[in-house]
Amino acid sequence: MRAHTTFAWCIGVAIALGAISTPTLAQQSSPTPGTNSEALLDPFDPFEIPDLWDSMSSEKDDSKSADELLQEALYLLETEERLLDARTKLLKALKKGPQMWKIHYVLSGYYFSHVGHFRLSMKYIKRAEELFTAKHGPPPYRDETTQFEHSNILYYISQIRLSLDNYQGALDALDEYSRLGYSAAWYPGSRAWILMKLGRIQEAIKVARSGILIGADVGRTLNMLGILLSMNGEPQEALEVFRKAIAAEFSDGARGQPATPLNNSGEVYKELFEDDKAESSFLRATSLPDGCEHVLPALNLTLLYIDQQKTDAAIATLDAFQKCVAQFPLRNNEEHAALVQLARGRIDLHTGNIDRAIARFRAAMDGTQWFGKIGTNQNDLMVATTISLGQALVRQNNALRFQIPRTWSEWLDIKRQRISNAVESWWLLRRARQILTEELNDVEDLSIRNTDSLLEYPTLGEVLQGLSRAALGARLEEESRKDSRAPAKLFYQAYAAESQLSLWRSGAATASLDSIIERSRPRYDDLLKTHATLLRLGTLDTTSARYRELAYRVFYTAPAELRNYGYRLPVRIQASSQLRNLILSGPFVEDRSTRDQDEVCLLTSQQAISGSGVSLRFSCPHNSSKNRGVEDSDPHEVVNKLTEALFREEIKNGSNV
Amino acid sequence: MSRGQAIPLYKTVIAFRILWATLALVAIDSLIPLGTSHLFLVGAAAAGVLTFSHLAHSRITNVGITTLTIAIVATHNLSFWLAQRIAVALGATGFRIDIIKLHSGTCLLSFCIFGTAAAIFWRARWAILAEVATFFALAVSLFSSHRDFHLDKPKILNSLAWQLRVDHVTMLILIGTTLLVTGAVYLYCASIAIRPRTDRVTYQRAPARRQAFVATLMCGVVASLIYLIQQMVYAHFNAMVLARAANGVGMGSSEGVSPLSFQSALGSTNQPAGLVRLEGDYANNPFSPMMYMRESALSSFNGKEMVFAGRAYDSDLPLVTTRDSFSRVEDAELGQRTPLVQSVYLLADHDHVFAVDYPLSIVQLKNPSPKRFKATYRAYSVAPAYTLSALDTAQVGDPRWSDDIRGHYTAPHPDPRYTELAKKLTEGVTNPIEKVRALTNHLSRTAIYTLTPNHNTKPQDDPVSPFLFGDHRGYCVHFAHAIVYMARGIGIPARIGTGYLTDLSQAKDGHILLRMSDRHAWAEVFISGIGWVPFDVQPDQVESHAETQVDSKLLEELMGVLEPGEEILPKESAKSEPGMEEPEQVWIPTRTTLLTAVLSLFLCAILAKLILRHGWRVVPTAPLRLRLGYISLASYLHDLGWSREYGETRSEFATRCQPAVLSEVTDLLLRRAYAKDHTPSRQAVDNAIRRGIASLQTLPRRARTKAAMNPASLLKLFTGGNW
Repeated sequence: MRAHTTFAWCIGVAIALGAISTPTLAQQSSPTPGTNSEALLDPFDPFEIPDLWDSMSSEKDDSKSADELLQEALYLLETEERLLDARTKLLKALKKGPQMWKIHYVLSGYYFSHVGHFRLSMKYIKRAEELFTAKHGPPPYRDETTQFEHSNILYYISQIRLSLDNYQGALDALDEYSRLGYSAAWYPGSRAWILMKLGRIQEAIKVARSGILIGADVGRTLNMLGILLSMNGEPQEALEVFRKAIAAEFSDGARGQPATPLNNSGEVYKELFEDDKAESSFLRATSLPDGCEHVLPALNLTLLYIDQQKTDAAIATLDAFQKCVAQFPLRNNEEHAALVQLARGRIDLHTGNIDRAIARFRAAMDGTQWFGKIGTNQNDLMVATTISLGQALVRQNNALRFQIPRTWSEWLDIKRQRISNAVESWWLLRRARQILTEELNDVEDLSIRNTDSLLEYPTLGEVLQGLSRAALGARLEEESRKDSRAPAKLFYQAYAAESQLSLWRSGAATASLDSIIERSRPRYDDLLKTHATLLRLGTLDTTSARYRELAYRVFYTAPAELRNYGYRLPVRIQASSQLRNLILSGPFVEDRSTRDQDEVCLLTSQQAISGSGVSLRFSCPHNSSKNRGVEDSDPHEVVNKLTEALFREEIKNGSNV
Repeated sequence: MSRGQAIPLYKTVIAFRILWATLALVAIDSLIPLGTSHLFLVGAAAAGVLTFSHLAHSRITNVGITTLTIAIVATHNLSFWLAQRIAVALGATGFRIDIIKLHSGTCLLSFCIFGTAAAIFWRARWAILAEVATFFALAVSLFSSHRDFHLDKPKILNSLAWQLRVDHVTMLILIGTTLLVTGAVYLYCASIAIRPRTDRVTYQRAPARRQAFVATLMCGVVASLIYLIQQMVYAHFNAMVLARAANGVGMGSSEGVSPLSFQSALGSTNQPAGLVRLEGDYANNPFSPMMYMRESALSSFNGKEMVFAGRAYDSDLPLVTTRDSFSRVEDAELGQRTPLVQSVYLLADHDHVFAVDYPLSIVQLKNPSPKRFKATYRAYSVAPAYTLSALDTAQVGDPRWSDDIRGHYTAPHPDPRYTELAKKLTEGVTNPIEKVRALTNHLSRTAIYTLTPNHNTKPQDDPVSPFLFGDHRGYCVHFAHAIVYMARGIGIPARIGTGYLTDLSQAKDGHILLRMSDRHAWAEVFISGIGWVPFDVQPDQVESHAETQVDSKLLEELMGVLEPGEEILPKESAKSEPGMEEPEQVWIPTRTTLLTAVLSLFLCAILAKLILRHGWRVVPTAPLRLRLGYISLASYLHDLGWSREYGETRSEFATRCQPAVLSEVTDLLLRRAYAKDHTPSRQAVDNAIRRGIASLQTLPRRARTKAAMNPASLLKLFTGGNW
């Protein structure tokens, strides 16, 4: 999931193209790139600029030559950022000069960098190459300008092939590039990235190191090296390299992209369970101007907050990202849309807004990317949404268990929905296991905090249960043995315990779960702790003191999860027998113990203020923030309302995707 | 003459069930990815149908079949459990065996589900009805969203409609008809197929005549139902003109008429209406990311609602059809505008053009794909470039207006409550723009957006008052009317704009896919020096909303249609590049292909029947002539419903048949088979066959016509029947 900035490189290269470069200051101040006027304008006179714009008006395009239109388009692209105006001019230029390779070249760059339409970009660049060869003959070329132009065509071909997942083709283009004796600052980093994609990590490291030695595009190459070192199991070295990359990017000024190495270093910190440093890296990345060029920093930060059960912070992160990305209208609804839906859905799920979570997961599942291309591995997204939807349906079934129907038709509808949810969730989780094992390198996500994973780790155990016990046990043992990170071991332990629980081996699981609850890091592993506590609740009798203690622990920290997992909250009840029965059909269990009465919340019923209904009051002696009061004319509905009030957290929805 | 017995359609039913299983698997996979190759799944389903059909015809009891099924599943799981244990013992830590297990499990599921269904089918008569009921229940459930006129759901329907280039209603009817026909054919086959008795291996002889009669009757009933339902569905949907309206906003601009509906905002949602391509940046759009494209405007009040006033008033509207051009001179008095060129490619029929206001010129464009686009044009507009804050101090109305025009746009609603409410809401506010904002803010806070307001009003009643002075539940049509009535009540010139409201953030590379759900009506106020400005209500409370995601694949496909042609980007240029393949699409035959296929099949059937009946005439040798002649006569009898029973000899059958159609030919055939060196002469063969045919001619004409039409002999021929 680490970010690399190939797009930005291309823009730089497009600008660097001598032959079709953006007009220089002299050119800009020359009498309009479109007329042949001999009059010289004062380059420092701001009032000259409107003339320039006037001349570039589309109304006069018909009288301009293809070359003039091309120059104007370049100016609009690079200086004015009027992308659609530029595109229109380029297409007009293409109509006038269909044999001009430069127009094809720039259009390829436009579709590659600004639209992400790689297939069309490839069509243009291949045509550009054809026309270029027709004009200049086959390589090698003697003339430096021709060499430079040809090298840029090869560069684009390699980058577009890379984007079309044709890694070998991309490498072939770079081989051709070096065979012809071309060189550029971007070359080592780009080659290393492609080698990495081909799985040739060691070779890629060598290329990146040699690139740094010759000072080639240091910031980006260092970032590349950092990613490679991290993949090679050298996190400390990777962090050191990222530090240098960040410094190099900052030193690049406005053109630097420090958010990328910052995000990558955050991911390494996260892998090392240095959550504070990871948070700090992600926060810095998201606060930088290039921080929302990609969703990854925001997404990583959100997942970190979800792990820490900081719902508000997670929502704020996504809100900030969406506000920021709104300033790039051409990029809206790109790959981030599905990822943001997924992350928001996870938040909804943990806060008991299950219906909304399901809707979001379904939208994320449908969220195909423009031109069939996704910035993140499609399988990572697919597995994350499939698991999330499967889990959400299980949670919805648990919530429906506690919903009290008022009529027979409602009862029937709940039953129907529960059956349908059970079948669909079973299939989805099964399908998720299939993708995990088949498409994602034999469950690579099992390596805790694998950066490609788009899920929070504590809940992964739910999916793993369906795998063969023997294989899962052996694999967990193997991972735990290999993994030197102490906090990671708790996760392996949790998965093993969950697997044992599914085999009714609660004895062994209980000890593990107690140990996880005890040893999990406060603040950082809150979600893991809650998950372990909820699993532990399943092994306890609802009347036991331990159950009461753990249930309240969850209720005070993440109330929605109690209902999500289908557990009841022990309460004292002061109500009529009819209402008592209804309350006990909901997510409550009566605590009849005589000891520690003050630790249990109290449910009292009274006549509603309106006079015609029932009112229920929930009050906790030790936590008044949980006190709630509801009323309704229908006793069934009053219990349902109280359930919603207690076990669903109202969250500010933020901006919708 | 005694009638024949049941036609053994065993193989036909098996083939039909396998075909059905294949279709079911493909359909399920399109809804929930199954993750395993279709080939394996269909293979497993076919194996299941064959195995369980065989089991159903064996001596094994129902309990036995169930036990066997459980044993198969248990063996499957046990073997994988063992394999996994062994693998772990050998030091493997991966999940490779799980991958195989998952795939084989899916195949086993397919085997068991379709197999068990086949076994139940053969063993229990009620299963036919249960199967058909389940089939239709699933189909109805799948397409149930249509109950609310969401004609684009499920998505597969949308995709099919798009690929077949038909509208959603036709697509729905096509699918419904296919389902009904499939169900009818299935019922027919299922009800006349012989079925086994559970206690014996031998086949049960079904009372074929009665069953065939019932099956034919059932087909007749189903066909009538198809016809009736089609008529009802067409009548219903066409009356609603749903294909061309959504959100209560229809098309059409006839003087004194409103295209707006107050009853329901339900309608086509994701149905593509058009593709708009911005030919330049529109950075200073005041409503960003939203963009209003006006089609018409309603400024006259007809005593009940706002209607189109005619060209005398709303002269800013182009109001030309999508095939016409238009141009006018820019109003120099209106400022703060920027040129904006839009190319519009219409995907649905539209009466009039629409564009960002104000279009100065509409010119026709060359249609890049007449199959896809109904009409294409380019609009040159002077689009709004003001900022909303710049309106704060502006004045309303146009100083150039005559009293008549001013009076037209400020005519208050006869119900004084609108004016009273407007005055109350704008109390203390002096600025006219602030007044309008106070009105829209009030509705944004209090109104509830719903697609189905269900106001109980009579046709002559004011449809807005139950909304504004009642439950506040409504949609854009109600909001726009309410704002206009209130604004006019306080002397602000207002009208209703209709057209499209689209979200530019859903655009790609300046291409916007307009859906029917983007149809919208909004209030407009005339601001001095700027022109008509939308003042829209954005309700905080939403009860129901038809908003759907833009179909990005469709947008991509349409953008592909607009790409430069072969002359500029020859296909060969990037032909050898991997990854250039277009996204995989399910092949769906076109209407022509379908029609050709059905016609070809029909012609082939006629040809096959002709060969079956008259093939003997072209064969030179007597033995072969005899053989084919026998088949010709036997097939004729088969089509009349007279067939050889199970275990019946040819001579017995020939004797049983009265008139003696087969007697002579059977005699010759048997002599040829059993008598040594006996070869009948060609003359004798021809005479025997002709006499057989002649005796068939004695049958009533009705029976002969029925035989000519009956495809039973063809079915028997292709399923390897023994004549």
